[in-house]
Amino acid sequence: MDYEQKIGKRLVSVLSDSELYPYCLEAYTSALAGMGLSDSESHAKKVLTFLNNKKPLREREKEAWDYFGTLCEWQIF
Amino acid sequence: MNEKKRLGIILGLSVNGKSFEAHVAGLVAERRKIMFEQISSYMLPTGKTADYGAGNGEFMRLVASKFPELEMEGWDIVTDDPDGQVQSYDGKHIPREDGYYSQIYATTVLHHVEDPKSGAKEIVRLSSKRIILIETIAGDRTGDRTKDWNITFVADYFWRLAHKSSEPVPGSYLTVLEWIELFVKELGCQLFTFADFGNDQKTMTEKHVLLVFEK
Repeated sequence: MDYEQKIGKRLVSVLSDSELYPYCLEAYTSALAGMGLSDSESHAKKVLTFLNNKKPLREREKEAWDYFGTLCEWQIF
Repeated sequence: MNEKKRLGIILGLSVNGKSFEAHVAGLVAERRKIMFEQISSYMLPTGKTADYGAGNGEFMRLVASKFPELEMEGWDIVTDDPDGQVQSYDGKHIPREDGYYSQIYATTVLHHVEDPKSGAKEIVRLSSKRIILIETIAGDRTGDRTKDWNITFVADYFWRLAHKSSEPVPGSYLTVLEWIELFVKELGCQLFTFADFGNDQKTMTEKHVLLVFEK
């Protein structure tokens, strides 16, 4: 599978759609809350910001992982 | 210092003594238990059994521990099984003869296959008695199927991201009716039972259904 084409670009395409973004935000907010994260909407926005840019997807994922790690470090989870 | 090591140190400094990976691992273990409870009453207790899309093998080992008389094999296109029990294949043909397994189960796998019909066909070829599926169903948020698929794709991707999973996420979502038509009308199975689990996983927003077919 072409990871960038089929996942990386599709993520940007969906997250850049103003009609679809609120649904995605709702999904990530709910998922992060389910993981035990407080103030999950603000963290969901941050994660979606990492994902919605034109960097290689692996770099975007790395930023998100670092962010998750920091949340753990600060006992937010 | 490489990035992976740096990240490990960051996570290792976790004040609560728990890394993000450990946190996610606990959630994944909960998810496995839920899925096992959802399929266990439909499983045949003996015979050759395949976990189609077995990933890291943890769910397969949970099933095997509960059904010790099963002769279990696990298959995936990319295996990250630390125990080396899951076997890899080319994504098209599992090297076993027709009807080799009494039963095959696939838990939230087929929508990760670019051509879910070819995956379904391979499952049906290999199974002689029973097929047990848990599948992700795209939500009906906008009333537009393409848009709903795209939202579900992004939601589904979250778990891949959080889990650092190697699994592909093409998001080939079919409706319940389409799954049933595929297995029954096109592939000649009989529908044994169906259940709508809805939003059954607290860390996921996707809806799941159970589909059990017999040959």
